[in-house]
Amino acid sequence: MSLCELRNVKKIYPMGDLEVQALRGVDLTIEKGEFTVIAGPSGSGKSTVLNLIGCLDRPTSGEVLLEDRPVAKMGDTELGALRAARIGFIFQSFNLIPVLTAFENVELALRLAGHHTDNKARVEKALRDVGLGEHFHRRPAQLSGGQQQRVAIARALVKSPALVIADEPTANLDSHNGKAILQLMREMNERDGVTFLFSTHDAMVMEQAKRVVRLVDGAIVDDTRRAPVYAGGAS
Amino acid sequence: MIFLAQLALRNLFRNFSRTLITSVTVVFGVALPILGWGMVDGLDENVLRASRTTITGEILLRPDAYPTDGIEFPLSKAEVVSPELAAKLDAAGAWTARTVFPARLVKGMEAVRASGNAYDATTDGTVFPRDKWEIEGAWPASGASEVVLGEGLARLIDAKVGDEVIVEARTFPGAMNALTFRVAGVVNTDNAALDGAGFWVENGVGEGLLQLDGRRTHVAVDAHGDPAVAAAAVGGSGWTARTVQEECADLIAANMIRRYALLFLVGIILLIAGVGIANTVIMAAYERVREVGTLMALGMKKGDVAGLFLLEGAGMGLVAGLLGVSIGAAGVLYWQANGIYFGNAVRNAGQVAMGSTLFMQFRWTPILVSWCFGLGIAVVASLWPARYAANLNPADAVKAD
Repeated sequence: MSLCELRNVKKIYPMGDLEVQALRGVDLTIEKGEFTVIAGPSGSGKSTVLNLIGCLDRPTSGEVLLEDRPVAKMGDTELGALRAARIGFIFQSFNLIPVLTAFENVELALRLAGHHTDNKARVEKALRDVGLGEHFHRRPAQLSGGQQQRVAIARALVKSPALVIADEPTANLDSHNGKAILQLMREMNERDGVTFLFSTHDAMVMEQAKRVVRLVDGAIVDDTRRAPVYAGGAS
Repeated sequence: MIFLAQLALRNLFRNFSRTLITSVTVVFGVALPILGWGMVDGLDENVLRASRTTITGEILLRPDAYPTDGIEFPLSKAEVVSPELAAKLDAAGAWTARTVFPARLVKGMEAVRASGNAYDATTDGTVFPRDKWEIEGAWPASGASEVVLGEGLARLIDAKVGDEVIVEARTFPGAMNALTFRVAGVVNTDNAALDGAGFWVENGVGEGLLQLDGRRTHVAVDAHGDPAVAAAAVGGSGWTARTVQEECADLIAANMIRRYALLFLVGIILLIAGVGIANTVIMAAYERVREVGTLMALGMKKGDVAGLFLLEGAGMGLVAGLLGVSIGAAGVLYWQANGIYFGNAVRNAGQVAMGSTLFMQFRWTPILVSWCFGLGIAVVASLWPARYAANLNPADAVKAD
């Protein structure tokens, strides 16, 4: 069983009187444990693919399967429950809740996934795993960009999701922080078997990927599996 | 739910100055009707108190044919209090008989129309305790040709204790009579109508002036039990009995108009408060689109997103409402104990039967109604922003600026 699958997926966005075809019949399968990058120029459909796999949006036609469950016909509540339980998100702009501390931001994902026991230990472990053992009670405004993205990673991983979707996770970080974040995710992929799916323009991220899917004008033009070049010499 | 409430509370403190400004309108919107209601209730109490302590007692009896409009005081309708009625009155409580008569008061070149009260020196004080009446000089000595003038009336004709005044009045048989009286005292009964146009003479002296032959126009009763029951018991025998509430019904009805006007104003204030809350929550919803998208991406249900914004509005309404209730209730309790003195304003208002001090009246109903209404407005004002936030598309919202 593949983790997720797109079958002849099309997505059309209405723009006033016009229609923009963001995806033109995409077929894509993501297996468990993959570290996959969706690459392509702006407007190629990267974010649309991530939104569909992340159950944030529905296709105009075609099928989206997550763990063999068709998500296209699910209601909002069902999709929300699926996201809460099975998918972790890492955003370009970190998207932490500013009124919550690092601890509370991570705990939020557990609460929304319906976990109410042992949360403290799980959150503390998740934050320590990303190197933020000393910053539990700081709010996002008191953290650097790199630290905020680490909190976001902890938030995505704390509920042990089937898939982590990261939309340009290094775009708002300097190269040093970007490299460190990427290495962290690689380690989690290697050590814990967490499946990551990225969209990026960043060559460094693409170098780290085990698989690179290239999109142009809403269609897959290349899908390459390869051995990654490890950042910082880690392997 | 607790988590949502915690998050909502923190969001309220996020833009504290905006929350504070909006809350102030709610505080006023809730506090003002409580104070206003306390004041209008105080006006009712004031009117009843002024009447009870100076004119009617708990029950006022007039001869059946006597007008009840409070404008005409025809001496020709006076009647004798029969032994049968006196027995009923004795059973009902303390009572006193008075004769109210129209008169002309002359001092030197000054002459004014006035309302005379011939009272029974023995029983008048049992119905109208005079401990709160302020008198300069003294009450007339028994059988002396002396008069006590209301403070406003004395001022009008520039009469002082010891001066002489001529009282002209029509007698019961219909002839005009005029007698000279010495001003024994100037009284403030704290009933502006009475103090502005009234004077007092003893019944014995009144008999000489008016040739009443034992007739009286008013009997006031301080009933032992329920005034309505007592009024029913003493009525008949040619006299009509009305309770003080019935006597003051017109003035209290006029106060109802004040109540409606107050409700109208309060409605406008709460509407402004509601618009303020709606504006605050709408601003919050527009400012936090990405945050809402993130919460949805993490799995928050639409209902919970809407609930979050409703809780923020309701939280504002709840806290500001409690503050408004506290301020309003504290104000009412303070002015219930200490009163608000309107002395000159009441005197200058003319012959209005009300006291110079208004004591607000505390009641739970306006407090509960104002608070619930404030809270309701807050929740209703948050509905649209909550709906807007809940219907955001998470895919777009997570990337909003």
